[in-house]
Amino acid sequence: MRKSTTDLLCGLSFLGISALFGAQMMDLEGVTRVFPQALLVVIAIGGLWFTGKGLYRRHMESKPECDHEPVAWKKVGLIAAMSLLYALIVNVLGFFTSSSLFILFTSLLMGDKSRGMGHLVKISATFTVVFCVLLWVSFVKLLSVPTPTGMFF
Amino acid sequence: MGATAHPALKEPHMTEFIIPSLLNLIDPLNIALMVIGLAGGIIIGALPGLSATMGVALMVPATFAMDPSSGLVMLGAIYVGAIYGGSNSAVLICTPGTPSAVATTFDGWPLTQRGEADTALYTSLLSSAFGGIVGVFFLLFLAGALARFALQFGGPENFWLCLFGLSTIAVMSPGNMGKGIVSGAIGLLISTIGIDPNAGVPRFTFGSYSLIQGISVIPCMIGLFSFSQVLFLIGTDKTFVADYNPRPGTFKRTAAYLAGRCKKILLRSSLIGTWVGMLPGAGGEIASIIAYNESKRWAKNPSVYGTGCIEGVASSESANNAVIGGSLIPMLTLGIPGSAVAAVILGALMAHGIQPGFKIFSATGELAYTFIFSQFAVNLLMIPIGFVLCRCMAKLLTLRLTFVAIGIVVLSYIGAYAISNSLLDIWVVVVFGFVGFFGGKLGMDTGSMALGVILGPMIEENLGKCLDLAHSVPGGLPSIMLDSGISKVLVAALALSLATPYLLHLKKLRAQERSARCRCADERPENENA
Amino acid sequence: MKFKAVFPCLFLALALIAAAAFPATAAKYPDKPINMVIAFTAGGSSDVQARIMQKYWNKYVEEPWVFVYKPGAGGIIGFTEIAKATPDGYTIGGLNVPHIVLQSLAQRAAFNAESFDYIAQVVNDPQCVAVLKSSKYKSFQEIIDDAKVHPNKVKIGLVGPLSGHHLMFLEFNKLYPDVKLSRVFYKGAADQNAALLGGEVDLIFGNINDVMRSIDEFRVLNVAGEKRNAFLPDVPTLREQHIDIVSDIRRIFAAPKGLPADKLAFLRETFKKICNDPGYVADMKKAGQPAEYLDGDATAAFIHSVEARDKALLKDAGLLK
Repeated sequence: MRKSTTDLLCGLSFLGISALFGAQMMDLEGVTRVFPQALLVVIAIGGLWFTGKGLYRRHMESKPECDHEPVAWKKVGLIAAMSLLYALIVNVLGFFTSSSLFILFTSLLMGDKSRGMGHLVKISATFTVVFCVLLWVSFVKLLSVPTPTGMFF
Repeated sequence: MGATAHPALKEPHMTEFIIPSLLNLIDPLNIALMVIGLAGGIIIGALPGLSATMGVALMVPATFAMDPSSGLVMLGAIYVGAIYGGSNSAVLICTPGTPSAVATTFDGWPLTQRGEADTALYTSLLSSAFGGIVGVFFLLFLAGALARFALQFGGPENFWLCLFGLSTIAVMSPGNMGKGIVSGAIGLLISTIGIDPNAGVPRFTFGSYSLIQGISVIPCMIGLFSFSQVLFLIGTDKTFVADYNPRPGTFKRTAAYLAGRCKKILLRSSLIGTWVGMLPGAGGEIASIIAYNESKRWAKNPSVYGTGCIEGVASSESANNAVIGGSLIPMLTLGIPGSAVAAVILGALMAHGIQPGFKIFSATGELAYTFIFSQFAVNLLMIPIGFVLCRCMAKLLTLRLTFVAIGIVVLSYIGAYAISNSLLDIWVVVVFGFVGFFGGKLGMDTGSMALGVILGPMIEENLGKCLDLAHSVPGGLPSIMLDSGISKVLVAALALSLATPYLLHLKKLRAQERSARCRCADERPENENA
Repeated sequence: MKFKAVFPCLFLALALIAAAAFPATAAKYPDKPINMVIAFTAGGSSDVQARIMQKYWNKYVEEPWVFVYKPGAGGIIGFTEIAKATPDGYTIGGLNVPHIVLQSLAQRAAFNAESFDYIAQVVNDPQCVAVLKSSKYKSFQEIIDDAKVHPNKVKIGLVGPLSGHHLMFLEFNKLYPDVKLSRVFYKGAADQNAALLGGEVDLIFGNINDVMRSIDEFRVLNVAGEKRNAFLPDVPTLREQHIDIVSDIRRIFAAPKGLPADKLAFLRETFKKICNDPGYVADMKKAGQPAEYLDGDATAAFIHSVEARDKALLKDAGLLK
């Protein structure tokens, strides 16, 4: 990402956040309002500043300079999507069921396929079972921590 | 704050209790409890998502079956182990295992990336032990005086202290100071979600009833640091988290370096940790960040901080373990816990029928001194036990990145959920994971944001207290805010802290100027003075 | 398809005969662990008290409790959890009065006093008036007189807002409208104690259980109870000194509304047994928890009377929402 884009997006996000919270401030009054209002002012000013800086930079730069290491966006997107799904089903299917599904499928999807699919399946399955058993032993048996329960366990 | 005159207390005769307490320590059951507590604590601390508070709280029921001193010894061992343990994951996967290990990631993770994970691990081990011992030292000898001093911190003093803590953002932000400040402001804003501490009115719940409980600090930090790290690590598309080349003799070399070059840093950070730990309300996270920043501020070469220097890890880790001893001071002497874990231990004490207070050192003296001496022992025992566990944990780096990442996600979810059995916390982890990852790409500072979320409630509460107190004093708000000596000192420190970036800049300029002058002098040999 | 209907009818008939012949044994209650919801953090006094009860519950009942901590928002989160749970007898929890009443009246909580089936009251923790041992005030009347002469100069610490202490303060203001104390709110009892110890405030309205943590440094002037408290037998009540304030915090165990009558009866019976167990009474005393047992119906009646009174107080103070 170019430096100017970074600043621009950053500034816009700041403005977005102040708008989001600002909209909710309608029915606050008195002492409740002071602190958030002061903060929103700071964030909004920052937003304007960085948006401006980003636009100015974009206007001034002759050639775009990329100063970040390459990011494997596809993989990031994949694990982000899987994690979102996981969070959604954890209450529906129960913690251990959803965890097993998450671990298994994410390992299969993202794992190293260089040694063949069969090998990957074996490793993923082993990892899933071992990890879930360890989790169960430590959290449920040893520490008696309640886990989200859904349809299954 | 009116300094009240307290009747002089007859000092308890410590000497009467030394022998029985030491004998208690040699009891095999107690030794076993210390070892198990330490090991268990280190593992709990190292797991991202499980915090020291939770580890200790979960073990409290187990202590009901034991006699009080053994129970206390075990809880104390878990406390120490967990606070140290948090550094392991902070170093190895840039994920603080407990909130107090946040500052350890700043220099611990770069060290790992350079292949020097073992140096970082051993540094944190030895620094934690040192800090812990300093903290207990103050607990043993100066508990009374320090507790009284801690009481002088009221609404105004705590307010200035929190602002001072926040101001460290100015020094801390590696990139852009402006973005750092706004990130901190965003963190503060997020902390206002929920019920307002001064009027009890719900705020910013966006129509969702479950947001009325606000955004808890720990799930937020798990999201900002652990989950966003997962996204970051996957994004680097590496096979392994980092290279790991353990070289023989690293331990000795690290120990020698710490003993030789880091004495001042270790001592200063431990003092900061003990002192902040003593204050009810401020805890390990703040102490380690302040200690780190103070080390950076006074260092000869501040720019090396953040690139992976031993000093950075040492200051953070010694501070957060020193907090332990500090937090126990007001807990034992006045029944006022100095940290969340101390509060849990206090509850356990009271359930056993033991009254905190100055008479804990005389009426139940044996128990109190057994506990204090056990803390010394535990900090020493931690070195061998931690050493062994370091080796085991470092093996994590040999697992493939994908599996480590998946494991962190699962642990983050269950760790966040386990705190208050709330699904909201899992969503907080996810949302803040994205915020941390994308924000990081845009230049926002997750450390400042986390600091904002931690300090926000305290700042607002104390401001409310100041406003209330202002009604009773003729000068009103300004008078209350600047009345006591402590407030004045803190305001001065705050001013100095805010000016630091400019002072450091001046320092750099002067250094450049000096080196330029030297170069000029070298190039004109005829101008050299004989 | 008519002939197919024969089989289900036959089956039904057989089933009815079987049911009549062998009286259906109701599934034994409880037949699996019961969730105990605690609305505050682990290690706090609510938790400690529940743990003591658990010890004696295990004496009388085979199935244990599983502690579920749901802290946050001064208890609202946990209380809501209890109110919204399935009333099948496998989720119960601890409630605090006046918290539930105040939260439903002034903080738009999703529950009110009708949302629960009450099992028993177990603790009655009266408020008390405490000052430092070195304080110049030797009685509450002295404080009142001093405040009359110097309005807004005498500072009082309260946990709040919207707590038992806050209510007591509102009641006090109603009785003595021309006495102006300057009030400061604190997040919790530990902060309140620290403030008194450090001299930030001159007196506090605190709870016996919390004040006992630092009792060496405090002088308790009065107890706001109906009668003198067993932990501080030498301290007079406010009523004895002609100040008509009775204010306390009660801890109650309850289940969500709609619990089947037999299960509720079982729970009430078991709690009665626990509270009368001499071992329990001794343990509560050791832990500094002021125990007082009231059965389910008496508890419900008490809460309703509290609701009416607090509504009036909040209305006068303009805090009703």
